[in-house]
Amino acid sequence: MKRRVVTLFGAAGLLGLVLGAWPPPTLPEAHAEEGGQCALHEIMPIERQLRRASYALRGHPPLLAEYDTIEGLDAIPDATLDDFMEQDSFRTQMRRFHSKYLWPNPTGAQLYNVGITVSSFNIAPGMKAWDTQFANRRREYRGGNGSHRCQNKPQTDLQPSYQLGDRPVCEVKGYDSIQVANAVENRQWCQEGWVLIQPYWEPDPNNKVKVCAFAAQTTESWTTLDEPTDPNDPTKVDTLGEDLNGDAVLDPGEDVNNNGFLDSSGDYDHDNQLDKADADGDGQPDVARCSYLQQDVKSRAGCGCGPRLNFCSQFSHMVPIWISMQEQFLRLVDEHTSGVDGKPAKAYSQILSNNRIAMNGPLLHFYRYWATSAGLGGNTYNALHTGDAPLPSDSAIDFNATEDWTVFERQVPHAGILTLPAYTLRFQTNRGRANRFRIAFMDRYFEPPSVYEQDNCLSETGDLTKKCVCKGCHAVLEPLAAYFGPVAERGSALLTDFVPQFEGSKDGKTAVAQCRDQWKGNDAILPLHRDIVGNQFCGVLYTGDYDPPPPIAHRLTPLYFAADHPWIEDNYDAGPAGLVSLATTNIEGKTYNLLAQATVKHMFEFVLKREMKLDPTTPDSEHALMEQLATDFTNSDDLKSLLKALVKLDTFRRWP
Amino acid sequence: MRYRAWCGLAVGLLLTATSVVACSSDDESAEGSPVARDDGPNKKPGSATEVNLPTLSRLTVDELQLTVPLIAGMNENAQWIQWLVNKGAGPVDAYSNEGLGKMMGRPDFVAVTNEATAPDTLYVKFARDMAREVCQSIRKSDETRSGNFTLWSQAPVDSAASDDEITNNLNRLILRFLGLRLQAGDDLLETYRQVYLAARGSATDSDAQKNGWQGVCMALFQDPAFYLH
Repeated sequence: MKRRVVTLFGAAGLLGLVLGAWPPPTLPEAHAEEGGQCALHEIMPIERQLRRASYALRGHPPLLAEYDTIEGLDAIPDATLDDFMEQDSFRTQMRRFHSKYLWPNPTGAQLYNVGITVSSFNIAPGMKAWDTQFANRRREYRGGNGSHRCQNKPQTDLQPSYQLGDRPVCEVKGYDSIQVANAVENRQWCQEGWVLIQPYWEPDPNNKVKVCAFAAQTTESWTTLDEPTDPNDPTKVDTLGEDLNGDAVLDPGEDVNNNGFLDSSGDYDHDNQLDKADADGDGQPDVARCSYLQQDVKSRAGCGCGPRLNFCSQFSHMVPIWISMQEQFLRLVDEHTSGVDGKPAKAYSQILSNNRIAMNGPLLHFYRYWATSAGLGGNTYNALHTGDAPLPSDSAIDFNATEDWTVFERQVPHAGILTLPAYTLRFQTNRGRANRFRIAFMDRYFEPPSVYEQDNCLSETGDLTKKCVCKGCHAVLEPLAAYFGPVAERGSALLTDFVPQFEGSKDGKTAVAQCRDQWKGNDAILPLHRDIVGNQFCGVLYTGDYDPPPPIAHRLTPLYFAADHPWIEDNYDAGPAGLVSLATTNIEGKTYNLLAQATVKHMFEFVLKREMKLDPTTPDSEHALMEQLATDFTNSDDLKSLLKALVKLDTFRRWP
Repeated sequence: MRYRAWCGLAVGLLLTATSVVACSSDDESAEGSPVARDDGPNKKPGSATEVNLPTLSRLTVDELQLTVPLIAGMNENAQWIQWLVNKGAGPVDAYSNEGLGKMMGRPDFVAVTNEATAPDTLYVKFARDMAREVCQSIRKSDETRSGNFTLWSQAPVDSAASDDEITNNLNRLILRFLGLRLQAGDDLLETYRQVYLAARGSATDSDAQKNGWQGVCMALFQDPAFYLH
């Protein structure tokens, strides 16, 4: 034994080659101990066993005092292993295991509309103020060429400070010359003042910052303008790029009542009063929501960033959201591995069906203010829909409460960790989600075919389940991907408020057109969501605009070929839970299921640092061991029991 | 030395072989089935199981980050001794992502999804840096204490230590670092005695003895038995 210790782990071992010990002995010579038996077959000293078990279960070595507790023993007592698995380091170690296979890091997923980015600028030398960042919004607020921000004076110094209720007045400053098409336009611009605000990211109410008054508007709805002025769409009002009254000044940005302030509204009936819309004729001004959906809203001067700038954001503020999503995922893992709050761990397989969801301040803020605001241009779609837990009141939401976690209950088609944003935003396509599930919970991996497949396939088709070469993987993958159909791709939102439409065309309408109809008629969706996002949603997420189908299937979504594949609709209806049932149903002729098989193999590799040897034709095959462990795990559904069995294996206790 | 040297080569060969082993493909022709028609072993790409080569991997960055302070103990301010590197605003834990953690291979599961744990030359270089810095820190902390030493808990340094005291201290350090409880005369024990004597030199004053134990500390941190699974 003494020699073996030196042989395997000599102080200069790995560096030996570098130091010039050449030529080396042959491998058989190297492995053979002088007495003939290979050191690899011998059980390690008890202290070394403890060290290995400690790393496997806790990720760190034992303390000196722990070595002393097992001196002279032949095997590590169960109580010691149990104690290891009660410690917080075990919880962390199980998080590492699940991170290794599930990669729950959504970093990079765009979570808010960049059009509502806020940033600071120098309003005076050495003095910061905050405003919306992009020129389009600034132009809507202040006219001109969009380069202007507010002036360094309180909004209350401008009188009247507000008009139309709560719209800041804006002091006329001059004209910008702007190239529009082939002509130079003179566009008037103005500046409002600032107000002091405690932004949502500032926990101390005494730390207020200067915010330009337009950006600081708190309303979530605004009074709409009166007369339709968009020549292209009589239901909408233009604010930019037109001069409807022919005064050589682009609208708005005019001072029609000559009070020295640019008007936020228009006076298209020339009564020297700013107009308010009353399209429904109820005598009250019409109101529209500040949805902060950017692309198609023509008049947003009445919308700021909401109370405490809640609706606006900046890139760095996505970081705590990403971190929280990861933590949210791992908290659910905790429940089924180590247990939480002093309670024992829940059944492991329920990690795929447990619909508890933990939310902290950043996540609640995200769902309340950003998820409903993000368009689909460059963003992920994360709005809450039927099946999601309702949000608490606004007063209970604090962006800075990163450690204040509350658990909510969700409903189907949610399916445990599979429909948490850390999973659906990390794997943003249904195919990616299905593939990762198949790897992590079925231990199955796709590999490209080694030969060009040309039998029983089509060379030109958008249906990858039939297309030569592609079908080798996609005949399996597409049905699995369909299980994730109820979850928006490039997002985490459920599609439960929409009726799926599987056929490519119906009643002369494309699937996309049918989808748009659903959006328009769906009361669960905010009106502006309906009008603005619908087109993007149907074209990007829902069915894909494939009429006719594209010659290349790189944008294929499974739903399009439902007429050819009845399982698409079945699997869509079953949702992710249907996929889970495939993994948790015993393999035909076996006493264990795929989930157990995958978990045993992955956990074996995690703690023993090598894969199981599963070729039954080799003398050292561990196939029978795998089957026994998988059967036990199927019956117990307890990860700690599996781990305990693994670290008690002679294989684990031998020299590696 | 030569006898040990091949071991490093063997490890290298095994790891290299592991990475180039071919793997069998899955039969996935059954539409709608999540599994292959054959329910036999399913190899993941890059699998080593076909040739059954054992592999040795180094501690992960996470494990190193936890291990080094536990081995090194606390300093005079009751703070865990870490390997610190200077980054921008000041020293940070070298194994953190702000330090060298990412460069050493800690996955972020976005761009890097797997930690390569081959004990390559980059790791060996950092292991030496770590050993030098941390053992120096342990020594400094021990020098501020009047007892409960980390590096010389079983042997005095303010007077000449006896052979038995040196043996006991070596044993304690080997147990602390490597998880091995050795008997007198064990090859590994004698190897480390040589390390101690070489680092101490011929002198037996306090500084010399501290140098000896610091040298043992550095060797233990770089011992494959410390960092290989």
